[in-house]
Amino acid sequence: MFSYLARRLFQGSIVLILVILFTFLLEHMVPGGPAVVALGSRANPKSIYLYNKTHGLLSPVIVQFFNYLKQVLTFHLGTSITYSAPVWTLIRSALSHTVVLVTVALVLQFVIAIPLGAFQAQRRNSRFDYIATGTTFVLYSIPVFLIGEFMITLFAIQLHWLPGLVSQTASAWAVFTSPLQFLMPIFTLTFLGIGGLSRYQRSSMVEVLAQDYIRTARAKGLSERLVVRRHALRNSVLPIITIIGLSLPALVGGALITEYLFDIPGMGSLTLQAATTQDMPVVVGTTIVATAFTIVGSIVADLLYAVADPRIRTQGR
Amino acid sequence: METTNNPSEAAVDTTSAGESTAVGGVYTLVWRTFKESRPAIISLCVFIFFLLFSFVGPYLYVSNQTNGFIAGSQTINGMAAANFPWFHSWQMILGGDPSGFDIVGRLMVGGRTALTVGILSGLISTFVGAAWGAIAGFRGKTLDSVMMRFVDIGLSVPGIFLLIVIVVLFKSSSTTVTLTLGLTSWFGSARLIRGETLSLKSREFVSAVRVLGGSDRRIIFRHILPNTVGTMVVIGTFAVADSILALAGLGFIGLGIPLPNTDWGSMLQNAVQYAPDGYWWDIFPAAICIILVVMSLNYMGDALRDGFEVRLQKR
Repeated sequence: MFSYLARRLFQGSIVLILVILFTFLLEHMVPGGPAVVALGSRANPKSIYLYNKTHGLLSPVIVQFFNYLKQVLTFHLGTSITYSAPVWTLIRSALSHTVVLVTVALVLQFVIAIPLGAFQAQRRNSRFDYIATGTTFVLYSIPVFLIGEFMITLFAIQLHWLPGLVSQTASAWAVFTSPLQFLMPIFTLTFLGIGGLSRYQRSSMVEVLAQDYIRTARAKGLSERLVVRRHALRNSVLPIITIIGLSLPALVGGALITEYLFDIPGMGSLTLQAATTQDMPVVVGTTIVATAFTIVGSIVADLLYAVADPRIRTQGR
Repeated sequence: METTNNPSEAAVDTTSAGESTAVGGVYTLVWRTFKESRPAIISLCVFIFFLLFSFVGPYLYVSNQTNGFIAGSQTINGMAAANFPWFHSWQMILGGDPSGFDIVGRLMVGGRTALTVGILSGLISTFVGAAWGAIAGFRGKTLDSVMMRFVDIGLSVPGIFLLIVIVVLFKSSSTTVTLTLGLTSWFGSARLIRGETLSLKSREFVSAVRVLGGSDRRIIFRHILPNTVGTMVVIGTFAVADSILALAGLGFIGLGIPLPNTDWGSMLQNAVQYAPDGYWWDIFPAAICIILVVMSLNYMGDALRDGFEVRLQKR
């Protein structure tokens, strides 16, 4: 168990370093290098030289990379060009919004998708199953921003039931204290994964229900409810937990669009504002932090799997 | 080997020969399952309609899609063409977009971008993934674990962030977006093809090629990969759908293909800005196009998977 965790952490840090290397190389691949990215293509040679000198860009690329890596790993992500503030300060205030949003949506996805998929499997090929499969399939094909946009048009613009934007002064925990304004963004993000998750859960449950131990449970006279809850559901959820880690990148990407849509001051909004103003340090910084968040999330998901599955928990004891 | 017109016999023949001399037979079999699914047939029609609409449409329905100044200054029935409502005039049946461009023509331009980017990046992602997975699975040992670790890495990075970095650095264009989407989305297909390669490489036809002196490269590219064509077709269909979705998302957040070109996501983003002022209908044309194309691809992918699974069962 411990060695497993250590291996995952090691693997995760390699991923992070490679992503840092990748963004670093991308900036150097632009004709003229980072100086042109920061100063624009019409900068004169003198200012480019001065920029390179002050930012340590005259040393060999490999030296630059290790300096950069050292800075990034100590949370020195550079200075934002538009805000003139350290990138990490900007990210730190935005990160909590994204983390809370993603976590709440992830939990809701499971709360909705697992019973739905399990119920579909129990009533396989019934009318309910067909309708649910059809609906989730349609949901799966609709891009997340359209779901959000339709919700805004209907509930905020036409019906005036819900606020269309989130208050800019609200803290990340406002999701719990004044949930009304977060209702639409959270459900937008939740819908993103329900289609896929409920399909996995359905097929996993179908497979489990055909197992011998389910027949044994029925044969010893257990009520159908007990069979389903104790024996089938618990076993069918196990493989779904491993999907958390795999679905996190898509969820973080979806959060970016959701934040943009509802004006939540999270990492996504920060990235997009920076993207429109060519504020490269911020864009690269958020990319690195978002990747780190995804990696940590998938390690946590793997640990959850170990907690849920005694076979893994007791391995190596 | 004698070619036969009977599809089921042909399917059996391919397995015994290992190579795909009777590929037509396999496809007949897949097509038979495919056409039994009504959603799949409807989807195929929808997809073909959009192909024709985007690539042939502009020749039949000519409209100004390049000069924003002319578009913005024209009037229809005395009303400005900009944000002209839909279903109010035959001249602009779906109305005008916020800059005054005819929305039907705009949809054609956007569809051309979406389908070109989607199909090309879907192809890149499928072929890169398939080659990567087949090489890793066939060679095995250290190379396999190194190559698959790389795939794990790719799968754990939120792609849209990388896409934004690249678009900001290298400017958004069909080429940049196609290459980026294609080269950042092949990790899943590499995994699937590797799995299939592991089971294929222990089959007799592989040993036969080796005994006959075939090189590894020949085995991988001429014998293993052609046998994974079913998986590749299915992956490819879903990959095209995913790419079209990703491009739409990119357009929606304002980083789409710049004017005078456009894509459906950028059209949406344009429309959304005017929706609170009462121009709500602007959203629907592009939204419906995105949903229809993506849904048709997903349904086709599903039906193809069923079709190829039937083939696998008959093995």
